[in-house]
Amino acid sequence: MKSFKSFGKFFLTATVMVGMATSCADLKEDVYSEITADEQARILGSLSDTEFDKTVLASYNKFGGLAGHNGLFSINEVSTDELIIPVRGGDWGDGGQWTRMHRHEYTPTEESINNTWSMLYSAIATANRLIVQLPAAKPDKGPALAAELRAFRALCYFYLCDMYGNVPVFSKFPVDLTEAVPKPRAEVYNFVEQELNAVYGSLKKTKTYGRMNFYAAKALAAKLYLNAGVYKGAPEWDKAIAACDEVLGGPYAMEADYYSNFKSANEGSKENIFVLPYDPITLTGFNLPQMTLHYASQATYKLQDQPWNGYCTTADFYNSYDAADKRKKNFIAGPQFAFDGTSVLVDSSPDGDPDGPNLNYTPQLNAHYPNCFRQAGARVGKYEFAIGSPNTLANDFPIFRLADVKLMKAESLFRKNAGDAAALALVNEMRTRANVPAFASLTTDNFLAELGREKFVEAWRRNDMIRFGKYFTAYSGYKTSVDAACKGVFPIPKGQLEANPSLVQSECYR
Amino acid sequence: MKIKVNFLKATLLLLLFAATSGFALAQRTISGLVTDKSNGETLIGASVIVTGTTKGTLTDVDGKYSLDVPADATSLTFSFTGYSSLTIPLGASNVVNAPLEGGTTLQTFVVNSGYVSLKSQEVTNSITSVRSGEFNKGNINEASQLLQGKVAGLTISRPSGNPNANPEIRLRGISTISGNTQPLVVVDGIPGVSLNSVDPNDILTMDVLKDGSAAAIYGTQGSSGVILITTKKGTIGTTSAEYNVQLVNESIANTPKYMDAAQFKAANAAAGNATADKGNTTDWLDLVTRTANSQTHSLSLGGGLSKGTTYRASFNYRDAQGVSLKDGFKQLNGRFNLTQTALDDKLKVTFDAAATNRNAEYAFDEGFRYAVTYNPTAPVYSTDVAFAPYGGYHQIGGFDTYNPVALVNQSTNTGQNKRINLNARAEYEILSGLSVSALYGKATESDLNGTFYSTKGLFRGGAGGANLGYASRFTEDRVKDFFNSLVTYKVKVDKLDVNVLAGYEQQVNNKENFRVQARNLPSEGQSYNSVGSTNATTVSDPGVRISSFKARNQLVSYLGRVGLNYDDTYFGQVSLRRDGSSMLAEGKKTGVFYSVSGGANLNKILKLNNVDNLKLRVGYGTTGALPRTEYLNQTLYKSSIGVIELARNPSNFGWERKAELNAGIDFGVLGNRLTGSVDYYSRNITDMLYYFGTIPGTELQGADAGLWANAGNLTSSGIEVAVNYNVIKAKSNDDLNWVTSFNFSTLSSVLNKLSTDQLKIGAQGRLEIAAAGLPGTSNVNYVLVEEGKTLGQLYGYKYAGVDAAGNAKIFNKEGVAVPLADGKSADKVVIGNGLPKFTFGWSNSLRYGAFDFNIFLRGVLGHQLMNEYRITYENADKGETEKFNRIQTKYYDAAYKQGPRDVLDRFVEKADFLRIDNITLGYTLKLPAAASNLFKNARVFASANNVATFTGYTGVNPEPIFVDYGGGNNGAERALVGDPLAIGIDRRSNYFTTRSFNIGLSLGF
Repeated sequence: MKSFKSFGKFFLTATVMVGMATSCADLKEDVYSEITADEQARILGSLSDTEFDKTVLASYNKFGGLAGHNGLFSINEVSTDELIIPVRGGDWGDGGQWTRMHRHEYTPTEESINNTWSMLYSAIATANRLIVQLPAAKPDKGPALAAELRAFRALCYFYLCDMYGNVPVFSKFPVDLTEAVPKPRAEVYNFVEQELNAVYGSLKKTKTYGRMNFYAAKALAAKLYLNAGVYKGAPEWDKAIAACDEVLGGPYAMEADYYSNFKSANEGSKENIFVLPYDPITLTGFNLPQMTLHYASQATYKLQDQPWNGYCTTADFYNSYDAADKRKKNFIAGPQFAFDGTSVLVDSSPDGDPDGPNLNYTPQLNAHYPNCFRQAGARVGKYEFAIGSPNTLANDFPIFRLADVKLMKAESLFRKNAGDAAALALVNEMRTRANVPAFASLTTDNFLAELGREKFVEAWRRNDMIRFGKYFTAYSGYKTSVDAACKGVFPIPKGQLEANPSLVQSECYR
Repeated sequence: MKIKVNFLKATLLLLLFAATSGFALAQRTISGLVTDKSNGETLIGASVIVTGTTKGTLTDVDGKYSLDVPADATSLTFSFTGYSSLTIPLGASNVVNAPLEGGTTLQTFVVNSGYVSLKSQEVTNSITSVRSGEFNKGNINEASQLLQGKVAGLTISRPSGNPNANPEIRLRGISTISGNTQPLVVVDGIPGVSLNSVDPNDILTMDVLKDGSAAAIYGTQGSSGVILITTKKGTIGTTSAEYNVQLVNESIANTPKYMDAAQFKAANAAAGNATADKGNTTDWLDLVTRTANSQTHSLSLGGGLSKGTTYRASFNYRDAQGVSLKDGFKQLNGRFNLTQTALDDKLKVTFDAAATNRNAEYAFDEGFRYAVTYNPTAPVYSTDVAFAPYGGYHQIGGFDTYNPVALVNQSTNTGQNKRINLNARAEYEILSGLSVSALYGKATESDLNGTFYSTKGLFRGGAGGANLGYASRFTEDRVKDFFNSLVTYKVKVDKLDVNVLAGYEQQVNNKENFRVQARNLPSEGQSYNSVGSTNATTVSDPGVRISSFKARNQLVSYLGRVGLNYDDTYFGQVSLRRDGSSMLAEGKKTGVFYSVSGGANLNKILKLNNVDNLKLRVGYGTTGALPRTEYLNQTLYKSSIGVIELARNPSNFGWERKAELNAGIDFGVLGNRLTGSVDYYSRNITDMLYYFGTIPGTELQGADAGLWANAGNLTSSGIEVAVNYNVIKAKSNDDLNWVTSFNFSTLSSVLNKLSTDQLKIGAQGRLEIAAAGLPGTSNVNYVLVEEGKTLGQLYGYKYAGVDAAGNAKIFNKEGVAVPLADGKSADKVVIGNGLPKFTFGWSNSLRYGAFDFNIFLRGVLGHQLMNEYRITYENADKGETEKFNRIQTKYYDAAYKQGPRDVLDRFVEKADFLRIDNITLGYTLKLPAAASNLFKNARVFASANNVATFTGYTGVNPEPIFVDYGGGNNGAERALVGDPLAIGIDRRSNYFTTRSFNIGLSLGF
């Protein structure tokens, strides 16, 4: 029993010692699988030049959702004559979001409007951080990348200015909440202009892929000046023309085949200036097949995921293309077949569609709401759907394209002088490529219609229609009301208003 | 352990013995154990008297006694209030054990209050002890099921018959949103142990610490309450072996009301859908479910050797089948306990080892969903070449439709879980009343999961497309190292008993995991056992993912407690705990939690007639809650496809705190035939952690990386009543004895605040959550979280009938009926509440001769459920009727043909219910003399679970739903962590409820 007694003493001593030893255990939180802030600073400074160059993608890649469902693309297209998402029985009710979008009855609670805002400010905040961190990490390479990011940030603020009007301009890192107070639209305009002016000299004058270079910045400036009348009440046609001319003097050229710019492997396009370099691995989110195709069309393209049967065009827009227009392949219409090209696709629930169960996309919509036939509406076919695609395409999505720059120049010239011959020639360049007769003269109507045909689903339609004033009219059978001018901006999203009490809701939505 | 004592009598007896013992001459020493014969629990303070004399003693806290008896003594008489006394002749043996019969009127028992055990009368908090005899019976696979309905204020929601599903446990409602919403489980002193690591057959008692003053000693782990599990141990002087076997036959109890093939055809004919009828009659549910047969075997051996050694070993085997095909698990659990006392009982060393090995195959709850919604006229298989890509399974195609048989047969999800718990504890009494102890435990949980979707599977397998099939392996180890050291000091000063505890405790939790997954499998994919068989050639191929992760956190604590007992009349307790956690922000890592409570034996003070017990208790205590994950207060970056990205915005939060006041009365009248307690509590949770996804100017938004902050304030209060009445009291063992127990609880919770100065849930303090989801209801939410209002508000439009075309109308905020399409968010109102107001349980135990009979009823009142089956599939829309089978309840209205769905009050239903949860009939065999050499006792029983449910709710199960895991639509995975603010949503992808019939046999050796 002696051993037990000594065990008792030992045990007591041990207990007290363990207690004392561990009582000062520090409560530091060790990180194993992620990178701490200190580590990140060290790593940035030690990256190879190639790796360091890629660090800016942390900001660019925030744009993954731009061309997908429920974001910037959706609100700039469904609110126009180009696209509509009818309610197809039980599908696409979505709380009425898409019906309201087309009718311009959008509210501060629309998910898509909030997603767009979040995407842009997220890209801005990442740019703000890298603009500070990169020059500090590598004083030789960092400043050029910071300049590029300032140009990209200017693009983000251009979008915000265009879609929301009065918005806060965050530009510092760490976040400075005094910047949370919104600036008037004209000041946001000025910020974009000043930022671009500050960085032109630092930007590359060679072609870049998915990155802002000198020409992309000039194309952005052209967009800004083209819409100056909308944004600050005073047009800047000459500045727009000058900016376009800078781009036209660059290393870009028109593709002979319009669709070279939109095919799955379109990274070689000579015409595209600045694209979102979508890729199923490095930049995901371009889920157009899902957005537009009928469920059964999965078999046509051997898609990895079943489509959702939503987005289609209106019959009027479809019919605005001549039969001979090469660009009519922007649409998928008519009977649909499986991958083999012969097996008929069957719509499992034809819901009384007079065409019967065989899948047949008819341009005519029987209704916008609530019971549009599931096969109704011509679908978006402009971007090639590669066989076997996952739910994110590999096609690059053009933000700035040479054709658009030419059309911007044409419009600026036309606005200054409706009979400008150079303007007519630039517009007719598009028409000739599309195999349709040249216009004899330009009118606002035929100009806007041509912009629609040429730039269908490039997410510029709302911007163009606002400038031409048509956005506010009863432009389609489903958009029958006339809007107040304040509908030219979307509401400030409810969640953002709540998170930032300095924000002020725009006029139409108070 | 249970002690039953009439304390006044006991004190008198003790004095008497003390006075007379000096004159007795010891001839020999008899020792033994006094137990309750019905359940083997030890009785504390039972009297042991040499028959015909005044010489005797009382049993100690372990139910043991030791008595010097004169040589001429012939027998000992054992007695205890509420039990029949028992006289046992003395033979040659010096060990005499006495199992007493007839115990029904519980007065005093030992309560585990965490770190210390108290006599029940010393308890000043709200603690409910449930002992093995009172546990739920029947088809039980998991420890919490033993308690369901037994503890006022403890709600255990087991929404389905899925044997692999863990229940949601709520004590007095919700007390944290972002921390652990389930009570802390402490097994034999080790906190935070998985309930699955203890086999229900090994549990002796479960003590539920309900209020803040009781849980304060657990500090930051205690806010959601504490369940203390004490496993069975061997006892000195006995050797017992036990074998239990149970067979279970289980079938679906309830389904949504959906159309059969004939009704479906008629509905489509009426809608003019000519092609809906695919020409067959298929009972999909029958094809994907079965009558399940499960079995449980448990073998235990326990006892005590001389020289202070006790042991218990048990072996439990469970083969549980679910009613869904392939669903179930096989589990082997072993537990071993060894206790050795030495040095005149001054040193006590305990070793515990438990190991569980479980092989589970998980059901796809979607199988139930699509069995309901899939076209009942479609064939299972088709030889049409169009269906070759699906392995010959007929697939209608279209959004959110999957052949249920193909889904179940072509999808596999398995898990191998290993749990090993090892503890060692030593306690040494240095001086009389002064003891030190140390406890070390290591709890290891290992999971290895495998998931496989066939290359021919439409459901998650991609069949008909490209990049076919899916296989993944996931493994995770979670290891907890736990150490504590306690010093206790007991002293009696005059009439005052003082009990002091001080201690140090630390735990370190490590989590490490690894996952590999691939698509693009060879056409005859080789399941998750060969993920490498993928045709993908690089790890960057779509669908190929490799990830690994490790996290670690520490909790370091000091704790102290002082317990006072003045003359068994006045009682008091003070506790203090200081916790430090690595998971909180710098400078906010430590928190102090305390409690003060007191009690008074009014019966003794006021000397009331006709009252056997009347005790008042009041306690106040604070507890805390920790976040669920580490690293929330750090800036973190990650590298992803060659780009360094910000991975987390740093939060800066400290402890979430709960303060709770509890006042209660315990009573006993009619000779303690009627006993009970009434408790009132009021809780105030402050600095409640909440996550804000939208922060101005930051680069991360949404669910992954928003800011966590101490933002919330939630108050709740309720009343809990428990009554136990011995309606018919048996005079002897052959008489009828009937005990009825009833408990109920009320609950109300108000969310006062969910914002900080900088972070708001909304300008008006309103937030809509719980997305209804596709198809057709994206951008629509079910739940409104609103500052100043109760939790669980269901939110939507008020239905105003249909127009001539069958489109729904709603009442706008002016009360005018307008088309649903014109509904604005301002027109939405609160249309129900998912939180129950009133929960009750009612148990009846009858015994007559060798028969015992138990019926247990349970009910919940005052809550509503959002019936998502009805929202999605009820309307008679033409296209919808063709695509999805219809839900046809009493609310079905063929005139209601609206296309777009939305959340309307017509889909929110009252879900009050009364359920006959369990009926058990047992028979204790009278063993013939020959057999009694072999068996000590034998009992057979038959029972039924979920016998009947009385409710007006038309969904599968009216049970409240406390957590929402999202929709899981069109083959999407559901969330792993549910949202505790989204209460009352009855989603579609839920396993159905089951009814089971069980038979069993218990043998004691």
